[in-house]
Amino acid sequence: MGKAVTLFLSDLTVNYASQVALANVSAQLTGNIIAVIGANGSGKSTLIKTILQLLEPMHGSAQILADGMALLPERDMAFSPENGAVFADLTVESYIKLWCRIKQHDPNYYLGAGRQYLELLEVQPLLRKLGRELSKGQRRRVQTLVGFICNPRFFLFDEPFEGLDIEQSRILTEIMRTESEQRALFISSHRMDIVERLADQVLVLDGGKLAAAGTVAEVVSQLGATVGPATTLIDAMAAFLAAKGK
Amino acid sequence: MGSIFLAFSFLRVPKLFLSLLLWPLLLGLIVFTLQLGFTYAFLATKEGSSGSYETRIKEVRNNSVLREFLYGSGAALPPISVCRWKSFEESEVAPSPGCEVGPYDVALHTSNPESFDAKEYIEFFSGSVARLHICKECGADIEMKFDSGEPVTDIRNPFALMVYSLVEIEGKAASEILPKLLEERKRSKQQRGTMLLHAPGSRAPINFTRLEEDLAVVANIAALAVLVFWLALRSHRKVLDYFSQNGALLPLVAACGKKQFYRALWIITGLRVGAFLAAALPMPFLFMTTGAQHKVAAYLESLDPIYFALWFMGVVVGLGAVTLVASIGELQHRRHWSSFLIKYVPAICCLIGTILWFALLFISAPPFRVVQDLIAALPIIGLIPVMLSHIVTQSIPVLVTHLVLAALMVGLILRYNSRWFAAHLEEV
Repeated sequence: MGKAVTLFLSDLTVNYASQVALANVSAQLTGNIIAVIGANGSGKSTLIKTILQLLEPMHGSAQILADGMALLPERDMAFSPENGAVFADLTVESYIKLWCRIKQHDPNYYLGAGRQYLELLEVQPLLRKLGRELSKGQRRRVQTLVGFICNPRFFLFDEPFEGLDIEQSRILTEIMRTESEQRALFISSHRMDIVERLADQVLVLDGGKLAAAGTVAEVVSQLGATVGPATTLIDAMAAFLAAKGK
Repeated sequence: MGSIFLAFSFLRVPKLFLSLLLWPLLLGLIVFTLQLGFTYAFLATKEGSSGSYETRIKEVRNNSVLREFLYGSGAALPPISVCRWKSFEESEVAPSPGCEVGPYDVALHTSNPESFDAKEYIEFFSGSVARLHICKECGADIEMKFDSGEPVTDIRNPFALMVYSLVEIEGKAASEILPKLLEERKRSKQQRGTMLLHAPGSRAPINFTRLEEDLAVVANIAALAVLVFWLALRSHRKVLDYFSQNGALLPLVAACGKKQFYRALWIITGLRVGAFLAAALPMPFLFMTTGAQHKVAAYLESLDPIYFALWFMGVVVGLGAVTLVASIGELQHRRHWSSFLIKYVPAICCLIGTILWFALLFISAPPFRVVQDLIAALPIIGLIPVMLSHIVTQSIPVLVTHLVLAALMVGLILRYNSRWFAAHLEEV
């Protein structure tokens, strides 16, 4: 647990105009890999944006604490969005260099200290391709590489397994597991099977409200208390969502 | 320091460099060349005397670029050669070896070349054409036919059409009529002296004699301000659009920090406006201080500096408010069916305010003076009255109120705009 962080949510309420996206969410989760799950529109992306300080809460707060200090997005965090990101008219290499320049002040950082990610994520063959020539899965891999190049203390992934085939999902899961020894990860995903295997702590959101929080076993038990006993996270979530009519 | 580094890193992206820096540089050059060309031509026409006009015409006649292009020499052509063709057996022949048809020659087709009275045409084409052929059916680049009553002119190639531009310069209108008109206009101006219109609703008489200089200054400065704001806003939109279209906006903002990211945007905006001004400003400066337009510079020096400063700041900040409202309004409602109309809302408010204010100029009742001042003091609605305040004088408190309210509005819009962008980054 050397690289563990604490997600500290205190009465967090976030609005979009008149619509409440997160309502009075309070939780404290500590772990190397923290996952947030929930149906579409449950507030997962809003929570990520609030942690990244892209959104200002109406009241309450969302903080990531490490060694008793609150982490700052620009200094300590990286973010990989659901659709990945590469500039359409730039080569992957130029895009990676741009990020290396911005975050490491050395455009060739990816060839030195960052080389391992180039190989792990199999981005080497994509370097000469233009952004517009990449598939969604390839864009995701490039953005994940860019995130690791930022060398963050806390890396947030929004639906990281979307657009990846089984083998690529397996590779990314392995990378996440290995990387979690060096940095804490935050995953928002619909892939309960992977979340169950990876996450130390899980937060379940439902319609902007907290439905359950804790270890996988605790979450299964908390959800089970509402919708009947379950043994796995997938079963518990399926029963929970069915009960909610989703 | 980090923001500067970030801004320059963004500018290394070729597409952003082209659209954010290179384009404003070119635009600065193009727009101001055109703008100054038009202003110069406008003021030159107003200032022109018969003497100066004659001098210019003489210069053009002695060294015409068009003539250089058509005939290989800019100097005036020798006196026109008139060639009356003769019938020979069943055809026609030129009267002498020097009378063969050459490029841009004119042929007058008549059934009786020997006796056709060509005096009018000799005068008309003199200086623009080398030879005038009078014949029954000889071919030339320009052929005039007289058989069906009204003459018909056939121009055989596009270059021959240019001969008519030369005719304009060499013709009577240029050499005699226009100088006379200008002389008349000048005399009429001298006779009436300074013309002052005493509108009941205006604080001071409106100086009609100075109107041209006033309009030249207002148009130049207003156009500059509008372009600067347009470029500034577009640079924000361009960077945000480019990043968001490529899905990189959120990761970048998160990785750089919101404040640093926005600071970098402002730096890019500053560089963009700077590039535009660097290309555009030397020309108005030269224009204002040298040559025939020294009158404008002298006019600027004659203005009350405090009044001019208030007017200048009022126009710049007021135009800034209009541009910001239009652009952000459109951006925020871009998914609404009426979004294309939203950008015109400030212009419509401005127009309504101007019409009301202008109508009140001709009513002398004191309560209407207060309404007039209120209109002029309001941002957006009172922009045109403030812009025209060198023509229709405004009081200093009205100018100050307009400036303060417009500045306040810009500040609030920018503040609200930043929060809105922060909350809607994914929608941008």
